[in-house]
Order: sequence, then C-alpha cells, then structure tokens
Amino acid sequence: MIREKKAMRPAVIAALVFLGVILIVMVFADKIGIHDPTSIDLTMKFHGSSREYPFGTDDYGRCVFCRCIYAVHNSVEIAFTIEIVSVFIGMMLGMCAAYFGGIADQLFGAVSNALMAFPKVILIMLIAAFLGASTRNIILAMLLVDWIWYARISRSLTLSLKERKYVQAARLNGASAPVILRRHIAPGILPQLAGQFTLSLGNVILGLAGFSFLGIGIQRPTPELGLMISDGCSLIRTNFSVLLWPGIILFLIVLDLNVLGEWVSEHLRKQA
Amino acid sequence: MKRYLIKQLLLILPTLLIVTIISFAMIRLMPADAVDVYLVTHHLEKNEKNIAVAKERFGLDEPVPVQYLHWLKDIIHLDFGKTYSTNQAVAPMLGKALVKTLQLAAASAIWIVVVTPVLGIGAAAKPEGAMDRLTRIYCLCGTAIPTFVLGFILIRLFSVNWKLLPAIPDGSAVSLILPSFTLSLSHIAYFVQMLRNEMLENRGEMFVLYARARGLHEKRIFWSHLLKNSVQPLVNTMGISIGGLIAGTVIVENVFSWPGLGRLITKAILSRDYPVIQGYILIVAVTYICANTISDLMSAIVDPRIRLGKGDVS
Amino acid sequence: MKQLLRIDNYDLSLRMNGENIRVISSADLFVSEGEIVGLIGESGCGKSMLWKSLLGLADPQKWICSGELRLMGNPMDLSDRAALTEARGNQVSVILQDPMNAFDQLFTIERHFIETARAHVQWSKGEILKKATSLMRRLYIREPEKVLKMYPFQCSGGMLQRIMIALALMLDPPLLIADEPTTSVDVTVQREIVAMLKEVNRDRNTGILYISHDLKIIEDLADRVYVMYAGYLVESFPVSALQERKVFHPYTVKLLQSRPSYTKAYLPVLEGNPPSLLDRQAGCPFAPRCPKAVDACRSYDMHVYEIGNQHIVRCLRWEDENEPAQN
Repeated sequence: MIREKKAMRPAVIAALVFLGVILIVMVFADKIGIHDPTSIDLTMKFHGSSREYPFGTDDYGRCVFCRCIYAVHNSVEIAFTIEIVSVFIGMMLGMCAAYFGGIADQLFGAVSNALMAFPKVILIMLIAAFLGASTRNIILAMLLVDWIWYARISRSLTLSLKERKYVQAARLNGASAPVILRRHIAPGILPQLAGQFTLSLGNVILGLAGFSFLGIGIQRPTPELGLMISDGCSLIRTNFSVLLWPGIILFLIVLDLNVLGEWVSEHLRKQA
Repeated sequence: MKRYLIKQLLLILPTLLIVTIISFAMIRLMPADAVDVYLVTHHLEKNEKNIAVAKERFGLDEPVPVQYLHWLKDIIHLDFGKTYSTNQAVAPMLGKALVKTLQLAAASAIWIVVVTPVLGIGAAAKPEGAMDRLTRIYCLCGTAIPTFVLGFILIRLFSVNWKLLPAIPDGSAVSLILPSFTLSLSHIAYFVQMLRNEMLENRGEMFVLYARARGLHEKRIFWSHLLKNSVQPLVNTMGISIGGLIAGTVIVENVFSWPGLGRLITKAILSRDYPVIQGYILIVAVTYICANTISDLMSAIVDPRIRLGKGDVS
Repeated sequence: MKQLLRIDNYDLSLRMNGENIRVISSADLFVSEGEIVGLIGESGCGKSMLWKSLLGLADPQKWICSGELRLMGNPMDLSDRAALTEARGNQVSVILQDPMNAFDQLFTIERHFIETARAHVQWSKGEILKKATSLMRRLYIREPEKVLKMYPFQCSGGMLQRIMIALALMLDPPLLIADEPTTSVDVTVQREIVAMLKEVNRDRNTGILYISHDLKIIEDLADRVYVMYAGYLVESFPVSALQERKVFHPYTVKLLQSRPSYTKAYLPVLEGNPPSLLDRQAGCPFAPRCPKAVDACRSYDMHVYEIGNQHIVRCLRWEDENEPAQN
C-alpha cells in the first residue's frame, strides 16, 4: 500500500496540472480560440497543422483547435451544471429519505432501485427518445439518472450522522428539521461526495459526447467533441486528424478526472 | 439446486409483467401523440376522418386496460406492430437486428472471458511487478477511452493503414474482431482491476493463512483457494454486465455500421418511431432479466453457499 | 526428554516506512514431548506473530526474524521456506481461532482433509478419508461420513473447531500449536475443546503450545507457562508456581489478581494498555503501568534472572515484595 501511494504521485501531479489547463480553457476560451468555431469557409478546407491552425482545419474550413477549445468549454460547463444540480437534488432527497425514514425512505428505495436496475446508458437514451433529441432534453435525461448515486451516498451518511451527539443535541434544543439538515448534516456529507463528483464529472462528459455522437445529444452547429468525431468519421481514410484530435482531448479529460476521482476517494477513505 | 433454479425462473414472471406495463405506459404517455406522428409520416391531412382511422389502427378507441391486454396478446404472439416511418412489421426487423447484436455481444464476452483471467492473475501473481504496473496503466486508460474514439483508431490502424481486418461488416467472422474488441476493452479493464484487487485482498484472509499453516504449497493455494474465492464475486458481476454490453453496442454498432439493435434504436429515436422503441425496450429488458438470471445461476454453481440456501453472502 | 520446538534469542521486527520496529525481543522458549505449554499475554503483545513467524507464515517482505530455531531437535534455517512448508501440518500442526473464517467456504470438509494429506504424503483418497473418519469419531463428531461431504458454512463453530483438531492430527504431528482456539466458541464448547486437547496430549504424547489470553484455561491445561508482554517473554514457570502464588513479575501478579472468580467481591483491574508498537521506549516495557517501577527500570536491559525450578523472570525488582495476591 505504501509503494502504491508513491506510484500514484506523478500521475496525480500530471492530472492536477492538466486540470489547471482545463480551467484556463474554461476561463479564456474566447481568447485562446481566435477563430469562430462555426463559421464556414470552404476555401480553407483541410489545412494542415500550422501556427494559425494548430490542429488544421476540417472539411468546412473550420479551425479544429478552436472547435475543440469551445467544445471542451461547452462540455465541461454542461457537465458541471448537471453535476451540481445532481448533487443538490441527490443530497436533498437522500438526506430527507434518511432523516424522516418511514414511507419517504421506502419510496426512495423503490425509485432508486428501479432506476439502477437498468443500464444507465439505455435509460438515458430512452428518456431522450421519449422527450425528443435536443440539447435541453439530453441534459434533462442525464439529470434524471445522475442524482441517484449522490442520493444513495447522502442517505447512508445521514443515517449515521443523525445518531451523532451534536445532531441529537441540536434536535433536543428544538432545532427544526431543515435547520438540522442544512447546518449539521449537509456540511458532513458534502466533502464525502467529492470523489463521486469528480468521477461522475468524467462520466457525464463521456456520456454527453457519446450521445452527441449518436445524434441524440447536443445538436449542430454547436461545437461538441462527440459531434466533431461523428462529423469527421467520413474522413477516416483521408483526414484522420480531424477526428483524432477531439478524440484524444476527450480521452485526456476523462482520464484526468478518473485519476483525480480515484485519488480523492482514496484520500477520503483514509480519513475515515 | 433444482429448487433454486425453479425459484429463480418463477421470479422472472412478475418482473416481465412490470416491464410490459412500463413499456405500454411509455407509449401512452408519449408527448408526441402517436396519431399525430402517424398522420405526419403518412402525409395525411389532419381531419376527423383520418384521426378516426389512425385511432382505430392503433386501437386507441378502446378503454386503456383493454388496449393493454390487446397489446399484450400481440406481444406474446411476437407482433410488435408496424413502423411509423416505413410501415414494415417491427418484429422481423428487431429479430434480425437482435441476432446481429447477440453475435457482437457473444464475441465480446469471449474476449472478456479469455483476456481477463490472463491479465488479472498475471498482475496479482506479482504485485508491483512489471505485469502489474502495465495492467494498471491499461485499466486506467481502458476505462477512460471513449468507445467511439477507440473504434475509429482501430479502424484507421487495422483497416486503413495495415489493411489487416475489415472495418465494415461483410458477414464473415473476421469482421466481428474489431467491433467486439472495441466493445470489450473497457469491460476487460474493469474486470481485470476487480480480479486483481479481489486476489490481493483475499491474500490476507484467514483461509489463506490456514491453508499455509497446513503446509499447502504457495502455488496450490494461489491456483485453488485464492483463485476460486476471487473469481466468485466476478462471476456475478460479469453476468450483470451483459446488460452493460448491450448498452455499449449502441455506440459500437454506429461506429462499425453493424446492423444490430443499437443502430436500429438510434434511427428509431431520431425518427421517433415508437413501435420500434417499444420493441427495443422489451427486448433489452428481457435480455437484461435473462442475463441477471444466468449470472445468479452461475454464482450458484460457483458458490455452494448460494446453491445450498445460505443467503448471507456478501 | 526430546524438545520438539526450541527457540533461542529470537527477534522479530516489522519493516515500516523504512524503519525496523521490534515486535519480539530475545525470546527463549521450548516445548518438550508430551508437554502442554501455555503462552499468555494481552492481545497485540506478539504471541500470535511468534508462532506465525517461526513457521514461516510471516510475509518476508514485511517481517525480519533472527535467532535459532530447532524443530524436533534439528536446527532449522528461518529463511528456508520450503523446509518450513514441509514441516507445517506434518511435524507441527496448527489450530486457529475463528474456524468459521479459517476454512475455505467454497471447499468441502473432505477437500480440506485431502489437500492437507496430499501436501505431505502419498495416500490414496480412501486411506485419507478412512483416517479422517476415525479421527473425527474419536473427537466425538457424529456421522463423520456425512460431515465430510458438508461445506464449512453448514457446520457450527464448535463442530468446525473439532474438525480443525482432527485435521491437525491427521498426520500424527509431534507438536500442536493452538492459537486461542476457544475464543470464538461458547463456554460449553470451550470446555470440550480443552478436554479434547488434554486427551490428545495424554493418548498420543503430543506436545502442545497453547496460546491464550485466558489465565484460567492455561492454569487448567498447561504444565508450564510463558507470560508475554510487549514482545518480551517476561516470566516462565511451571504451572505449580501459579497455584502456589509464587510468581514474581508484577505483570504476572497483576494478571493473577484480575482473574475473575466467584469468590471475589471485587475484581482489580489492570490499569492502562500495553504500549503500542510505535511508542515502545527503552527499558522495561511494563514500567509505565508497574506499581513497583523505579528509575532503574527505564534503563533495564531486560536480561533474564533464573530463579530455579525452571523459573525465569525479566524484572529488576522481582525479589521485592509484591502486593499480596488476593483470592
């Protein structure tokens, strides 16, 4: 175990550095991506890699690099929103189920078991099919599935936290349930969700790209990594780099978040 | 064992019933009205007469429970209705696609069953050895690489650059290699990790100490006690992951233009072809239930505690 | 009398973060033929690690041992794992606590017998099972043929413990090591197990090293006793010394005092806990809890005082009057 920790370290440092790069892209997307990612200029078709177009241009003469930058910006933003909302919903429902128990808890158990009994991808696809393919609907569909994990973790943590002395003391002092949940239980749960949050962030970005690739996620012409790969797949014989670059970037982001997620989870386990 | 089997099989029935009800309800609750879609796709004018015809065609003029029973009767007779878009019968279409998808899933399962033990045991045999480190890097990358990216990279390398394997299905078994490998890679990574960790964890268990204390040789302990105990939880997870494989086929089939269920459902979703979607839900649900039952049975074969009715297995 | 197991000046250290932490220090111990030797100590004092490391069951990556080991009178190389593997189960058999977890739940009892025998001798399956049934019958297990076909989880804890003894006796080992075999079973089974071990010792002249934290069982069972504290064998004596209250180490005295008894209205408690591995200091490890401790104790090199009649003690002040042991 001791050696494992040492082996992890360089990977974690690299992951943290890459996370910094992602954050810079998030903040300065419009400064880094100098070309309009959606403007079509057929005269600029299939430019090779150059200073102005680091990854070259695609079949519509759009700068692949800039499209990637904006795509990452969009994906991360959407994934982050989905995750934040999921954490919020999941925590609320999980805490309430555990705190109030009884029928609320049983109902929660039934719903979460039913949702978890089916493969996640197919579930999201079916919800998207039900609602119709659009950016808004895929976000909704992912939200509907994503909160369960947070809810389950929150539920089990609340079950143990509510027996703690300080929570009991607060209850004896006449604090109301919302106050106890917000002031005494939520702060205990939130850090524990960090590991799951990081891992899920990667999964949501991956899922989003996958659904967009299939055409049931984010819609054209918004730049999106999955969409770029889908658009580029006819160029596999001639201009492979057009789909390779977004693929590599997607892989790196997911890898980065996986490494960090494992690291955070391990940290939390050690603390416990 | 016989009793266990019968019990498991009987448990399938209520689950199936629930699935049919959900599947039926989904169509009924659909925001886009089936009649509207029908009229639009058949370029019919939206008037009283056409609506009545459409309603009659879908049996919408009857009370809901009766509709459900009619529908259920059709389903039992494998009649899934006709597609909105092309007016073909859904059942044979789904059947053909299902065969293709099962081929793909079976080929992936072979990859998983063959490669997982080799890497997992190899890594666990010498923790922190070269094999273990390489396997760990593979596990990290394997779970992070998007299936469609992997698929295109493999096509580019094996079909375009080296011209070794066909990328497009031509009906031969060789054309199964790339798609099935693409589909199985992340699953293998997951299982290898699980097997390795199980084996390393079980090393510290009492039964290993006791086996050593009785003078058993390390090799024997590794290959019989350690392996059997570590594989046991894997068997169950593998069975369940058949569902995950079916989900994975959606993307892989689109990458490799594989004419299976995944491609069919993607098209159906985009054209809102509800009878196809409904049929797909049923098929996936049945596959899923079957997979779970099979994995339970496999666990029972490996683990006498389940077989002989000691339920308290973690 | 032939000495089945003998260690001299045995040290065991744990490698942790580049440091070596001493777990057992200069232990001398022997078990003779036909003798039951008790080893008593609180949990964490190193008594289990002692036999595990001796028999080559400690991970050599983590544990370092040194000293002299003799099995059946023959000197053994502590790093010769093949020889130690051969000796285990054949010359020295082990009975563990918690048999529910010690047996492999996925293997039948029969398989356990077969694999143990096959590891050492070339018997046929029929011979092995015949021997197993007769041993099990001798240990009062009803319908042994049926039990052999069962899985461990189908047996009770007490039954498994008896099966474990049968398994240990399979190859007629001269020495048996029992590591707290009675901790996980209820009191009636405890008595049965102790009686069974006595019977085995009497009938087969098997030497037994019985490890426990329960003074009562040791007093009842053993011929000779070793007391272990924080990695040191602080005192050893024939069991008669216990009965005559002629023990000298303050720790042994305290152990004796805190032994439950129906005649006691008040049970003195041994205050404090043994030092953890990381904060063991120089001198006598018991000094912080010892009522007789003086400054010299903290620089005492733990050398041995031999006080006759196989009685050995590691205490500077053993000659000084102890608090009277009540009974």
